[in-house]
Amino acid sequence: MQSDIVMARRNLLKAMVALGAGATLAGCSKGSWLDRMTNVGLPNTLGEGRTGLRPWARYPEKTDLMMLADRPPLLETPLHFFLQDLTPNDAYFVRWHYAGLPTRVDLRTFRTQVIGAVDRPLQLSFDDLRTKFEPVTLTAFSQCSGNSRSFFSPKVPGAQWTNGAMGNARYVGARLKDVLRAAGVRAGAVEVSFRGVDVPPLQASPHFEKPLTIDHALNGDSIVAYEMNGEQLPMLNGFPVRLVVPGWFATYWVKALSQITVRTEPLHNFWVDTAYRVPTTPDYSEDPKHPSAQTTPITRHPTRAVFVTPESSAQLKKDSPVEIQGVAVDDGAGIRRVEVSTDGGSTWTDAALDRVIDKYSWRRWRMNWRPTEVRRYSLQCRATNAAGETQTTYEWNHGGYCRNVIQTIDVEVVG
Amino acid sequence: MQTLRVVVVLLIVAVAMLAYALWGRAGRERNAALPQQEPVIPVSRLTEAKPVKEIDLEYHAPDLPPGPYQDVFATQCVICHSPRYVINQPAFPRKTWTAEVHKMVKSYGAPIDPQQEREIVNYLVAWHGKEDMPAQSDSKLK
Repeated sequence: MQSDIVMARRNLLKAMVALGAGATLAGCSKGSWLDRMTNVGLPNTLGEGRTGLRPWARYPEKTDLMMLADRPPLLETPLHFFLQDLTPNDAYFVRWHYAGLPTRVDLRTFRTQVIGAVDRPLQLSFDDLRTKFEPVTLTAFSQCSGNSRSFFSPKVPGAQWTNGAMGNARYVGARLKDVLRAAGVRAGAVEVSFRGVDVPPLQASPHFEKPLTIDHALNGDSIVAYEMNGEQLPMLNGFPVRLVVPGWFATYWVKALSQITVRTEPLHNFWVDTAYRVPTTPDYSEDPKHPSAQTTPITRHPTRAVFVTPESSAQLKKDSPVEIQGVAVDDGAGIRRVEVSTDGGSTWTDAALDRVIDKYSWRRWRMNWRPTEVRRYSLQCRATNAAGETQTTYEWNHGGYCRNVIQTIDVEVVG
Repeated sequence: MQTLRVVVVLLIVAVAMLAYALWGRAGRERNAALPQQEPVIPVSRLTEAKPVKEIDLEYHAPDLPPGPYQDVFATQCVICHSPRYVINQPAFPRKTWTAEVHKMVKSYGAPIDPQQEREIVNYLVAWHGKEDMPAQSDSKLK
């Protein structure tokens, strides 16, 4: 197994020079003092509008990604990587809650414990997981609960992601069900919870831990993944093993998975009771002036289509054919239809769907278009899944979670 | 008589051995079918040439702009996270920054006293925020 660590690093000053910071600094001279001091030049056109400071940065085992924060790192994948069906490991988005994330893992001592209400507590090594359980391969989409948060209006606190806190990858791992069966789940178990080796910065800070119901944990879908796109997982994506919960938001995909606890009482912590909660309304919306008192933990991916190309603010040529392309995601029921509007939502045309990659993978869609007028066009895309779930035009919630409104991008057609 | 005694003894031994063998095999099979009672603590079999993976994280923290209570921010906030967690946010009104700082105390257990909370909020509003607008309740509600 290759465990060469790509140590390619670039310091901020070099990045500034490489990316033509001079031009950018001049361009944002009306910004704050801090903008001028720290903006290292992400073009505004990469997102749908300016969402704060998003310089490029290259982290270990990673290519240049949009850095939303450095400690702990929040790294967003540029859209063009989504032209590939599998998001490369070095481009896959990164999100950690605490700066105490693992930077060194010794496979000789790393163990994933299975404890709690089990007959036989286990301490599984990386090799145990690879050799003592049937390997399962699946391709699955994942996204941060707050993917696309920056598009909420009014804006909400949290990582100001555009659409790149997502990815699609092929994993190999052991079924969570098989691991739990090996430990022997005792009668009366209601939940299984998951921790990684990342540690809180303060004694008083709540350790990151998320639960699944026992039925969900045993349904055979989730795996403890030790391989991502044919390689070891990057350290920043959860080396050596991470939980993969297909169809559910990445907050459950616990990285550097070190502790699996079978519980006879539901887990209560900050991450369950306060964070990662959405309104119970069907479209995850609430009134910004009167946030909903009824909230529930975020769970599955709502149905959604996302543009990959052209990108927002792209310039297209009049009378030149262009392929509009994107991906559509849902909770595993299956994308059945994607429609595209080139007139701001008045009329809709069915896009062609690529073959299904896997049940929980995203599905690619395409539509050929030839703009006939020199002007600005508003493009929209809308997905429908096998359960009949589709998208709406308005959504707001206080956490900036579960974004799945119909996406609109403006493109400029020139002569 | 002597021979008969030897034969009887041998017969008894043979029956005993047969019974033990049959009972023992049944017992082993029964054991094999049951879950093991001892906790299984598998021993790692190291097969990797490079069992250790290590990365070196670089930080790209922005400089803190000068201003009142910069020192409080620098000591109380930066111990846990980069100041980039501030500049990545929209320039929030005082109300939002107040809630965010309080979350650090209430939910994350930051050892910040109420006086310091107010000072940090003042610094954040001056650095990357705005005062609350009395009339406009920070939303364009649809």
